[in-house]
Amino acid sequence: MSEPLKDNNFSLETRNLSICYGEKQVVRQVNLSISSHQVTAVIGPSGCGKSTLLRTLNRMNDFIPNFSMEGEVLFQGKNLYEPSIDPGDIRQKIGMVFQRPNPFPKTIYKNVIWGPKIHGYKGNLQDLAEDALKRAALWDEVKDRLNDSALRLSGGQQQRLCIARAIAMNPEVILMDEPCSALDPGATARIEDLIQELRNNYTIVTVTHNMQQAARISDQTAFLYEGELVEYGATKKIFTQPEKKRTEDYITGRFG
Amino acid sequence: MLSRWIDHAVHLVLLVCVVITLLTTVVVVALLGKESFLFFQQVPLWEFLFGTRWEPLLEPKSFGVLPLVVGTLKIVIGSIAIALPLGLLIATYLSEFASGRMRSAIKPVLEILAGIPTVVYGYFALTFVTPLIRTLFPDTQIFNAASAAIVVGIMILPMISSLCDDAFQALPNSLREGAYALGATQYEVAVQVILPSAAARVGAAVILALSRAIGETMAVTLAAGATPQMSLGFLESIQTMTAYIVQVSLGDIPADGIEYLTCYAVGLLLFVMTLIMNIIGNHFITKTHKLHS
Repeated sequence: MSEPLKDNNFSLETRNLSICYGEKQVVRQVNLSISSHQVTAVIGPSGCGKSTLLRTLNRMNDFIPNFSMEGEVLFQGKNLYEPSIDPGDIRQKIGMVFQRPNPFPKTIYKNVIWGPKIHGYKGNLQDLAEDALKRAALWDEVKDRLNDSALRLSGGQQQRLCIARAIAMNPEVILMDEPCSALDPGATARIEDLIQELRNNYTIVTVTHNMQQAARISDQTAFLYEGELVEYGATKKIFTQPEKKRTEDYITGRFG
Repeated sequence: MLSRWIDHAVHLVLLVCVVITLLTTVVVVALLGKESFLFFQQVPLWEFLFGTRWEPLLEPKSFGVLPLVVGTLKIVIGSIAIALPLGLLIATYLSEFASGRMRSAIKPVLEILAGIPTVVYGYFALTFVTPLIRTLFPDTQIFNAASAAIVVGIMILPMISSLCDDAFQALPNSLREGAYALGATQYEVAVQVILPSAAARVGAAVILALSRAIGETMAVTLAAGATPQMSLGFLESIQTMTAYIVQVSLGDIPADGIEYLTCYAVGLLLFVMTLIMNIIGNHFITKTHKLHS
């Protein structure tokens, strides 16, 4: 395998990526280069293929029986879909946070260390848990009850626990699939703040149907419409001077 | 007007059905209670529950039910020891590993297993399982607890595996996704996430299966023998509570004697035991439903 390009500051790239579920094409010829240590938001109306696209970036679509794809997804210069690649290894480096918080019905502590533990983490698990929970801005709320069930946390806390769980794996990239859609405004604000901080250490790709949210938290924005990448660029530019008519119509609320 | 009348008629018919069911239950329980009451007028309750010799048909008579309870427990423990590990493996395979086609091929086979008449299982124990055990352990008696426990284990296997499969399937897929997103393998997800998450419902499945094993009659009557005794061995003849009831019901025992009343006392104990099991099992299930919703 060739050395990843050192001066390439793209973490993830898709090349001519097309995705089908059975006969139905959901994503068409998408070329997207995602910069390291930035927040990239993928926006678009429901059913435009944004979640599908996201789940292709760490091979979470492998579980869907009639999923098929063409093109390439490059991570640090390597194609994720090469036969020699173990999807489990990929998912260790590219973590994921889901639409609804999905902590395991275990204790808070066990939720955080479960991932590192199954992969034979050698260091101190307690330190690891503390660090991950601090980075996820949850430590102060749970430090005295690490052995409580994670299911007793509020929705927002559960989602931050899921972020801590992803962070504990020390990933390069964290994918977030509408991470705030099941949360109230207060919890949403906390997650948005958290995403801002996480950018320093991780590359973040987030899917959202909330345009204000994309404008607030992201550096780059990709607008996907009916499976096609309509426009992609700096968030400021997309939201102030979009190049395409369709982007403008969408962000000004004329459809979607 | 006519449709309204039909509505009333249907309502009435359904109500009658419900009442008949309720009445049957009440009558059975009342009958069990009444006859048992007559029995306990002659035999003290503590002597029945804690006595260690069961010889109601021979002089001097003795009415300690423990030997029958021990026989029943041997069948229950032996059958669960076989059915629980196997059932969990089958359920895990069906729910977490099998493809849709494999699943739809295996499920009906399990249902066939559940549909085999229990007398066939008894016969199978006597003519196939016992000879097999005897080639391994030549001292084994013709009628023995092990053989009956094995076939009862096979009998409750479909129940355990399908209840556990339901328990696993009821878990939200997001739980699996969360684990896979951390780079876990199928095995790690199944054993460390799915199984513990479904533990309460697996517990309920085991308890419902236990109560089925307690009440199982035909196979133990045919294969386990008619020797009530307090012992720990599985290779010797025993008698279970159910098998005793069969023995007395089939024998020519006067319907007014104390021997005949023993049937009701044993039946009542059996009823109480399975009732408690079912209550605990259902409690488990409703508790976990609350947890998930």
